[in-house]
Amino acid sequence: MEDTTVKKSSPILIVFAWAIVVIPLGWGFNYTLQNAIKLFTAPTPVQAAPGK
Amino acid sequence: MALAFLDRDRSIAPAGYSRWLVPPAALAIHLSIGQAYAFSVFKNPLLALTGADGSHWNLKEVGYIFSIAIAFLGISAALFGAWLEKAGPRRAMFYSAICFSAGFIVSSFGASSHQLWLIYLGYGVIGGIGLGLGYISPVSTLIKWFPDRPGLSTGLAIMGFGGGAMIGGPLANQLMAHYKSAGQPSIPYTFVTMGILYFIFMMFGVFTIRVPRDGWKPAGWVPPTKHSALISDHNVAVHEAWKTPQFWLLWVMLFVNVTAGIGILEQAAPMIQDLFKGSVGATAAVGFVGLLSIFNMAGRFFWASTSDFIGRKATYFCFFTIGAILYFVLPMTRQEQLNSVPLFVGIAVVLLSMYGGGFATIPAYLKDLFGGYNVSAIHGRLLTAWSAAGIIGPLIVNGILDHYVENHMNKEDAYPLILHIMCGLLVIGFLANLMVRPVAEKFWLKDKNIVVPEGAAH
Repeated sequence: MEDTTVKKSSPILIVFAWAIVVIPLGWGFNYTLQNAIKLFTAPTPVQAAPGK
Repeated sequence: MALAFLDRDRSIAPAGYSRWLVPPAALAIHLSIGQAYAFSVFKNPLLALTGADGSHWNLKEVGYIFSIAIAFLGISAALFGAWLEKAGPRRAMFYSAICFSAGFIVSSFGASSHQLWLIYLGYGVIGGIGLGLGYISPVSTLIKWFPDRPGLSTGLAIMGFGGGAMIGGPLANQLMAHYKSAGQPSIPYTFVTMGILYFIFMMFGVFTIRVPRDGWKPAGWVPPTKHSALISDHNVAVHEAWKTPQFWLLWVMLFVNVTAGIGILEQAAPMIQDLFKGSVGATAAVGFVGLLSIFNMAGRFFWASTSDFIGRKATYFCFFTIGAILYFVLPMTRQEQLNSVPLFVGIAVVLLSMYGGGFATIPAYLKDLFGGYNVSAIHGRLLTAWSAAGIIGPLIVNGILDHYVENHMNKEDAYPLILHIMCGLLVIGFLANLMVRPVAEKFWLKDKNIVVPEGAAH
């Protein structure tokens, strides 16, 4: 039977544990997103020749 | 056993321990070892190194480093899966951290002395063993903590492997730039720094991971009495599982899904530039690769979580039907036909989300079919499909491209052929998934004395 009087993990501890992994992931995500945006914002190079 | 603090008995969660502390522990491991996907950032710096005799390494030689690492990932996952079931996740994570970090340190000697074999041994063999151990170590523990949402839990961890490149790539670039500007040997110092940083980060996972007590289940959760016939109430031991047709059908499914994804990943930047000549430059191509990374990661979480609701077979049905159609139409978006960059990018990111989803959903599929008893060990053996795809996929892609170039044909005309081969592979995966049936009774675990906790092993 489950003991309902036991000390539960602190919500602060849970948030802290998630922060340890989310912060570096967020940093990397932001870096990658900045690169990804270049796909839509990079100036279109001058066409050297017609497409066909 | 040496290092007794790593024993499974020492990592049993006390009453009241929140299961939401376990995914960050798993993520710490997967975000670290996922650095492997960003190994390409070292390619050009390694090529620029000069030996004492003035020699340089070529692209092919440097390319073997990643291939060896992925091969050893599969081999070690297959070999050590059964050991992991006994030793527990904490010990496996610890050894993974030791191997992964030691791989960097050994490689730093290889880079500073211009001995490529030392990098093969370090990053490839020792680091590769760390990858395999780390990849499978948290899987069954997560399934055990989340018997109500096995797809979500394993998706969270395996999402980390996709996300690891997003941290590892920029981290390596910034460290190399820092050491270079300080006039220090950039690659050896970067390898050492990364080895130390990743070891510390992985230790967070090692000391946070806990296994639930026998008989633990989420508060208020009652195992469903009615479910799909594919979700087994029985367990299959690893030495029996690999004799079943279901194991090999899943092996084929993972193999074709990974091979198809490699069809895009392997040549993503040159492909978009070749198919849209004059419209997409090198900078935009880098952006395309970044976008693929994001969807590769997000797909792992999205599809694995979705599989908890629609089932694993239906999820793979989506991968192999939508995927096959999209691979077939992708070449039609090129310049000579629809000439639509947004459509090309849109299709490619959906395909990459399913590539990631295939990795993340497979542990839950295994748990459904074989039960939780040996799921880590079975998963480990299944990962040999990844190693095989890591060799066959690039062989197909590079082989066809080389053939076109050597025969003076238009390189861009090779891509439709490559993508249509990937479409064909997904059709094979579709058929394999269709053939998956519940595991026959003769393979079930008979020993009633073995305690099989709710959810999974350990």
